[in-house]
Amino acid sequence: MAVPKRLQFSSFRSRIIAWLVLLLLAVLGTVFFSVNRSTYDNTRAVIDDNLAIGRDVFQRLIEEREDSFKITFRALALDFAFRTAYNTGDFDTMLSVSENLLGRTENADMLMVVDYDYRMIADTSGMYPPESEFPWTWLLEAAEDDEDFETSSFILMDGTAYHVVAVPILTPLVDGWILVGQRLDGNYVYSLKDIITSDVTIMALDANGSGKPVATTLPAAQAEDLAANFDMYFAGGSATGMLDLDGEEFVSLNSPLVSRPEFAMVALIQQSLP
Amino acid sequence: MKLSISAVVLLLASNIALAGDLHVHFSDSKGNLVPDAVIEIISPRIPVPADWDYMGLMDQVDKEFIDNVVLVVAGSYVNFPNSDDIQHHVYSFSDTKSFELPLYSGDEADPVLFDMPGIAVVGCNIHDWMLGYIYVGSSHLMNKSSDDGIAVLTGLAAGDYTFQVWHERARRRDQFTTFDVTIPATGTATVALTLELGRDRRIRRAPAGSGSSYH
Repeated sequence: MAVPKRLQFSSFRSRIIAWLVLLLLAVLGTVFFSVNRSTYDNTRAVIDDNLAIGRDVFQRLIEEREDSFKITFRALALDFAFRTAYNTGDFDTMLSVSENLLGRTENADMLMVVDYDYRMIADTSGMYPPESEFPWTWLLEAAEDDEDFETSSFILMDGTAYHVVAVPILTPLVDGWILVGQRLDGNYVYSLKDIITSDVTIMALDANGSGKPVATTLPAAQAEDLAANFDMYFAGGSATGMLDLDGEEFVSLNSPLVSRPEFAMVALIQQSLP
Repeated sequence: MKLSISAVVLLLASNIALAGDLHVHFSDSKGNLVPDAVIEIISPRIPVPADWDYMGLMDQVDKEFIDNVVLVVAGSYVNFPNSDDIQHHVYSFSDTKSFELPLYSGDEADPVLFDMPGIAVVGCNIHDWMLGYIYVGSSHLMNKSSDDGIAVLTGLAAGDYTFQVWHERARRRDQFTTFDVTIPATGTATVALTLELGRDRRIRRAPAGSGSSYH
């Protein structure tokens, strides 16, 4: 087929110009993609650093809360009046004592008193009556294995996550535990987000590994997307993941909180890619 | 505490003894010797001698109770002298005897009457690791195992007896398990018992403020 004469590079000068234009486009394309890649890599590196810092801050806050609860409740567990009340076996009195202690402890949202046979003595949440079996026996088994009869972990109670600390009651034998906990709810994750400038999601996982957000700073649609695809994002317990949540791309860092055969809990520190 | 008689009665002839002895050898499930295991004859009831000294003593030395386990007959008084150069606040919440001796030094505290058989767990309110036991028996025929794991009762008239066993680390449902034994007219009846012990429920001694040593 004949090429129209006006499109032919009939002169040497035209051909040079055409080659130069093509070369310029190639160079510009290469530069564009290089800059774009470099920008992405830099952004990703900054986000990764932010997430790691966010995770470290979160873990530090968890440790500080544990230390604070232990210091406070070690002292309370050794209080002679408290121990005397504990030995009365009077459930109403113990509940009253527990509510008093809870009301005077900063950041504490629940308090339970449990005897050495894992029997509930007092529960400020009102969910577990006196003499009922303590539901998280693995927690106190861990305390029994500890040289100071103390432990800390995370539990789910009525769909809400709690960070809990157990300290022993001495009469003078180790005769029971005070269990104090902080609720990891919306207020908690939003206050954490203010500090670390990343989104935070507390995920509860069932025995099959299916995840459910129990507290998150993400909008509802993104939280639902996360729950639906959690298995895929964190296959094999990966520490990081790229998440497409309701059309927005996130980098997410997974920080395990507790892992039991029947359930697990992880904190996800998340930032969206610009 | 899971008790099993691994070797029952061994008779050692003696031409001198006028009555028999009982030796109970205690070990745990790993074969370790178990001190401070208590045996008490609960049947037949032998009257407590008229000249029996109804007094006991639990001293406090270097922020520990000495002895760790003190045996007294019901109706006895126990003194709690304080041999440390600091004060102690001794107490017990036990059903057997609930009492409190607020901060005191030396021999200031009055003796405490233990009038009901059972176990009184004794502590110090300001040194939470201090832990002692008053074993209050209904009989004077009782003793505890020494460091070699052997508890001995001597001078028992020949016949059939029932004794009970207690140890501080035995599980609650296994406390005061009973055993029958026949005491010979001469010689020694030896019983070997294996105790299944739980974790020591004593809190560890507080670390010294300046390092890992303990005070």
